[in-house]
Amino acid sequence: MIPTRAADVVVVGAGAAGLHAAVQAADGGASVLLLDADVRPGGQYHRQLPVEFGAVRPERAHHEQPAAADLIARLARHRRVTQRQQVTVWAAEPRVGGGALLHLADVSSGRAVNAGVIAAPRVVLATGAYDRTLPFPGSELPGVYTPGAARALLQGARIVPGRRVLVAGTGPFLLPVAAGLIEAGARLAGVLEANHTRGWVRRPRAMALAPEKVAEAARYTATLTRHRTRVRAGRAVVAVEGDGRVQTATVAKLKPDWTIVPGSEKTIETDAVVVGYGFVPQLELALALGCDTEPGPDGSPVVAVDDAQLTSRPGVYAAGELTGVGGAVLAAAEGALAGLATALDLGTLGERGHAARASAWQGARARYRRFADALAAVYPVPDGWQSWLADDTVVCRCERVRYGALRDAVESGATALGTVCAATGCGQGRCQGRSCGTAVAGLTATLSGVDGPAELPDPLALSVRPVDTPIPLGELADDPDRPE
Amino acid sequence: MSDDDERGPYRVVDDPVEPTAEPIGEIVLDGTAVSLRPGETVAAAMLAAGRVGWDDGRGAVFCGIGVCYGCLVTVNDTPSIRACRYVARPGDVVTTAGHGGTR
Repeated sequence: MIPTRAADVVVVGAGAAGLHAAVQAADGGASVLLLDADVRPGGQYHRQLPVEFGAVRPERAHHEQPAAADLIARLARHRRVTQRQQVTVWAAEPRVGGGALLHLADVSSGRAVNAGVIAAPRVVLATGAYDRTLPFPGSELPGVYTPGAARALLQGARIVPGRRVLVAGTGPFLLPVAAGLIEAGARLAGVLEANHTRGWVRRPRAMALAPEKVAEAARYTATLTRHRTRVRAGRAVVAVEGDGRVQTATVAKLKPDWTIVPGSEKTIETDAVVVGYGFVPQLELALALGCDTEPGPDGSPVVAVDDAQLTSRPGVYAAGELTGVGGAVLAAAEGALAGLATALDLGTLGERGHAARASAWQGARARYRRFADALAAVYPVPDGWQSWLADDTVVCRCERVRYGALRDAVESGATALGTVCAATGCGQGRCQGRSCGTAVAGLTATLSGVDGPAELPDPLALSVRPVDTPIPLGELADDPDRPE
Repeated sequence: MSDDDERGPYRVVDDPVEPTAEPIGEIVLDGTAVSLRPGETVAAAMLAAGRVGWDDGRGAVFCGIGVCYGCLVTVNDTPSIRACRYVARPGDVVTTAGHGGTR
């Protein structure tokens, strides 16, 4: 049963940010309700193996596992923390007096089952991010996976997605995915980094900001080297082919703007293509609560927060990737600071106690925010990917909207995202634009001749989701109770 | 497909994490029994059995974390279950036809 009398602080999401927010708030004297949609706490980065696997050496699945596992165990024993897994917040509205009313659904059955509304006088949104995907010819074929899927399957189920796995895209996250696959005995068909970079590890300023990450990246690179695999920069998967599933991929050299170097295309055999271009923060609950946004490290919108991780709305805090994608260390620091701020606001933690506990986290946050900016500069996503598309390339996976239809809509006069989506069906399917949102916004901006998605009349149209999780209407007819 | 042995997903062999749990039973996937390890999602059991594409000609695991809704299946007559999020129970009857088309 989910308590309808909420705690002092409700934390949404049990990834790096949410776990640290919960423990700091609770250590600071607050009662905490920690909600998470997944089966186990940990989020994407700290994903835990099912205990039922009975793994003797679970730490081998993840270099960061012991520390995260310790934190998760500590929270489970904490007398001021109540944890609910497989519970999702499917809608949120501002609460009079601050915080939020959160509409909950139990998703343990695989469907969303209405679980009532709770009042959260203080809420920490720690909803994280998911992989940013870009369409290319054949990308809807079975056998194409996001890096997050490859990692979830490996870390959470010990499954390798194919016999010859091709890892591609951009960003530092490709390295742990490739190294994890190799350590599990997978054969890789290649690791392709679309940007012309030898990686942030060659940048002294970025290295100085994140010594922990230098060591981690060095371990991944050593794993690849031991298995005679290296990251090939300036290359991408520009198409995949196959009869009902991926059988081959077309890889090509890219110019710095990501258009294809003519004549560089090669066909390689692969049965699993793992491809991702960074991450999209999950903003919908923050947007539903009316939180202001600002441009993040890569220019796309993120939730604006102050030094206490407080958003523009009273009692609504945000931490982790939704304030700017920066990885688990930054998320942990932001989460800890948000948790401490809630305890200070509640009055169970005094000014001096707060200052003493917050200072180390503030230093880490400052360092890793600069590191996030450096990463965004090293791993941009220039518009040249749009030239890989053909008229019949599927842009929206849910509604099978093709590039030609999107172009026709813009050429017929649709310039706002909302109009383009209404005309084509993009973003109107079951994922509500999560998968295609970045691509549709980028394509619409280019086709309508404006300088990037931020210049569109409604840049957040594909980020707003009043109903975050599809919930059967019948579930809503019987509203258990509604506090306040 | 005749070349399934050379293609497609598989459970890690000689796994360095040293799992000790034995399969706890089977689920029925489009009429065929496939083995289930404890804690596995429907998606994990399906992929471990070599199933990459669904019978509706569209479905597949893509995001793996509950975001894309591309892996919808019917479990015990309940439609629209995200295979990547639902932890399977022995005896579950899973079908993959019927989620294609609009919405």
